[in-house]
Amino acid sequence: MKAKTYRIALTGLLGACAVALSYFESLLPTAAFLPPGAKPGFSNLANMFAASMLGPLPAFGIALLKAGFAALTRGGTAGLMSLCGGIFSTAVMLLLFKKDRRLGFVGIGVISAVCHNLGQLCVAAALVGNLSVLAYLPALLLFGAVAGTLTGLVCRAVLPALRRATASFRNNR
Amino acid sequence: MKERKWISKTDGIVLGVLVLFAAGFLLWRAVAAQPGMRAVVTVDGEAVLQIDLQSAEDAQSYTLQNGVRLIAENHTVRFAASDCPDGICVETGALQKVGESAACVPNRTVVTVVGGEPRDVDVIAY
Repeated sequence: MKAKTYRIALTGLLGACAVALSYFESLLPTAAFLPPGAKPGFSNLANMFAASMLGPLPAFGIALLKAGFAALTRGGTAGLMSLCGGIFSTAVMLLLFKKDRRLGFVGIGVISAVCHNLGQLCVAAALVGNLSVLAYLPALLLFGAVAGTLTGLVCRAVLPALRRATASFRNNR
Repeated sequence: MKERKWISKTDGIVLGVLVLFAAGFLLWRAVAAQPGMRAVVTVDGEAVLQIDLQSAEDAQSYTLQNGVRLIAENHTVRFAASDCPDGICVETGALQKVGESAACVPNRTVVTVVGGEPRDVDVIAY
């Protein structure tokens, strides 16, 4: 029971972090050399940590929360795109953390970032009823590779600290 | 259980393939693409407007029924204004070459530059 409560609390905490990171990211100026609309996806850190340490329910919960936040602040279309990208990338992350033994954190970060972009692009293509948006694909793949590498490295770097924090929290109960 | 690495050899392969594919595609497009003849504007997947880019010199503004405004000038076309929250379409900037595309997803509007005949074929002369 206590472990369960603790898991719910930590999920809420991570969800709040994800939303805060999303907001922080929206304040950043967009650079001219980046594909339009491309974001570094800092908030995927929360998904990745949840997927690696907490399991499917918290990870998907955070993806849902992020989509809800996008829908509220940037409209229904952004919400739907965030939802599909988030669910797809979170599913892939969970699968890789569970089944794969050869990829490192960077690999999982990159693959899930690319999946996030793919999911969003597919939704965009379906919404506009036109495949020409796929012209964004190469730029998004390239950007996803960079962003995913960063996410993977940061996730691995903060993992011990988070693990320690969660352990002490658990022992106090 | 063995601890997962920061970065593994497999990660390197994934990154390499990804970067090669994307960079190759971008390079190929930059080198091979021809200047566009027309811009096709679609809303909800339906073509609603064609702009002749060959003859577009001075700025000409087009307003669609959904309020999106496009400007064609100097053989390029771009989104000039849209009521969408992100403004990614306007950010995309001017399109010039065949295959270049800009989209306003909230307004379901896409502009794509195409090559080929400047208009639907009116006369075929041999």
